[in-house]
Amino acid sequence: MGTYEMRIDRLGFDIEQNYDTIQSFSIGHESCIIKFFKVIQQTDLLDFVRRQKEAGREIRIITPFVPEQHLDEMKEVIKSICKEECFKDSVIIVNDFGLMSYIHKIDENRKMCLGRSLLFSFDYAPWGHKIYENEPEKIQKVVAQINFYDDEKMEFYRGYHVSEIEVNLTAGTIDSLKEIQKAGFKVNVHKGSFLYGTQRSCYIRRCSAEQNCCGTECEYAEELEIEEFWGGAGYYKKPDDIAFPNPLYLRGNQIYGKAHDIPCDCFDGIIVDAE
Amino acid sequence: MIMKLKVPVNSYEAAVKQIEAGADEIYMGLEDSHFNRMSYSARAQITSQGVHSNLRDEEFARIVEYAHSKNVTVDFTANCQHVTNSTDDFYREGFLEYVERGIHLGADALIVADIGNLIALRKRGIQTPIIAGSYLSGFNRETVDFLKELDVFRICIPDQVTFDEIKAIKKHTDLEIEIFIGYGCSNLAGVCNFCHNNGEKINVGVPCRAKFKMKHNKIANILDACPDCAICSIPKLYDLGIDSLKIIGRETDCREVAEITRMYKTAIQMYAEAGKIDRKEIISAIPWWENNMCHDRCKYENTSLLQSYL
Ligand SMILES: [Zn+2]
Ligand SMILES: [Zn+2]
Ligand SMILES: [Zn+2]
Repeated sequence: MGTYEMRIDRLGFDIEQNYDTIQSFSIGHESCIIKFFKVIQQTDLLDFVRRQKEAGREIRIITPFVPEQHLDEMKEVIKSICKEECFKDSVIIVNDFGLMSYIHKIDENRKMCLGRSLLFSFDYAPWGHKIYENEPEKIQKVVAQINFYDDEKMEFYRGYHVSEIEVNLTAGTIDSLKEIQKAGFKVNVHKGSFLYGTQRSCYIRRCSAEQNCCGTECEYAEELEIEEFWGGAGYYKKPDDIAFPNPLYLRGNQIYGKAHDIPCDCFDGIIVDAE
Repeated sequence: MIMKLKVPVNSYEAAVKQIEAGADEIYMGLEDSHFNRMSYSARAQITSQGVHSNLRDEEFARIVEYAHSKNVTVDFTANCQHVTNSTDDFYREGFLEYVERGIHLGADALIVADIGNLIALRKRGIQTPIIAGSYLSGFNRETVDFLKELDVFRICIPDQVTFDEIKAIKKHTDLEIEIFIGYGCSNLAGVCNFCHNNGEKINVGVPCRAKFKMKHNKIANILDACPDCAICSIPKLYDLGIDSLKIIGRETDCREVAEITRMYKTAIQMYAEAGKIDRKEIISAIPWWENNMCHDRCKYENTSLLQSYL
């Protein structure tokens, strides 16, 4: 039975609320570096962390991909997190190979978890099955798996003290996730969302020039419903045989849908969003 | 050293056209009998539009011979990112044999986009130079150093980076740097699950350019966030010493891409010879470029899109 991990990736989450059903918190941001800096540097955060630790809860740090223009600042912030007593045993979730490598250089024994941005399966496409349905059965079985299920990769990541992964859950990837668990890694699944894409800019910023955002405006999720696809010859109606996530959400620089309705009790962690 | 132009090829005819248009490097993949439609090369053997993105051995070998006779380098697309364990390990073994076949047929370098594959290729004793594909997300100097340790000689920097970021990376590393020119995905490399041209028969087009209904019934292509044009930036890219400019399009009729190749080649040569470019004259070669691809959609200029980058 998995433990519940609550993601704290917004400004102004309710630090007074009663979190009885939650066993751990992951603090930071999965995809937006600016939001990451803001969340992690909130006043009162350390008080909250200490209180939750006293109550026996685990604290984790969730980090996004790191654009070059923020690399130096990110290194400083990560350095101070690694030095901070109350994050001493915190797992850091990474979504950037360079950051993973840097953390391993400055804090050799720091445990890490690979984030969703660094993992892939053809089964993640909304029409995943259509991609491989024409292949021989044994190929179908393999390409539906998650690419972390690979002895070369698992051994390599162990060297970086990666001991967990964080994933979107699909029916086709389940068998490989169980094998990954057998190989000694923890598998944490997202129950709150299914990530389809990450963009370089937050759409609020992108759509209005004077908006420098990544405050609270972009914490609101915009609902999208597919209207027309675009091909080389122009726009066309979505054919009936194509399943497209509906609704699709755009929040900050993330594009996501609802998590698939699959029981996830056999996994190690279940990640939920803060209210 | 002159900045090279790297272009896709999916037929002999396309190779001839692209090389005549000015390609210095071409890249292509092979069909593989393990698959009916998918491949080890990050593009379907046959797309939903009926385009053959990869080649059969014989045609591949003919292209290599032609390219080498014109001093053009051949990069081999071994950039699948979905290699996992399988019964008897047939899947990875199939990948390694695929690469060995490409090398045997004359490929000069490999494009690899999966960490497990990078490791497995070297363990196999394959010494061919490797380019880190864009799915390996070389967004920053730390990642570039990380990939260097995995024994690559060149990094293909993904879309969605600014000129200043490329500059910081280029100044930091002695690896070769390749960047994209032209349209790509609106999402970050490796973080887009709207896969297309991978083997599906359905036509999903380019999903990040689709139109969506939003609140108040507003309809917009709200996810469209990838710029197109690098013509205007040729002088500064050249001065920075970028090693190679990459055009995508193995899933299209590559003969059509040759027009774009020619336009970029003209710009590079003009700058190399005269120290400046006549932007208007160069762009006039493709009538729709000025209004559809440039200005707000310039890739490495200070546009409002790039200013919105996090
Ligand atoms: Zn924002
Ligand atoms: Zn895309
Ligand atoms: Zn331009």
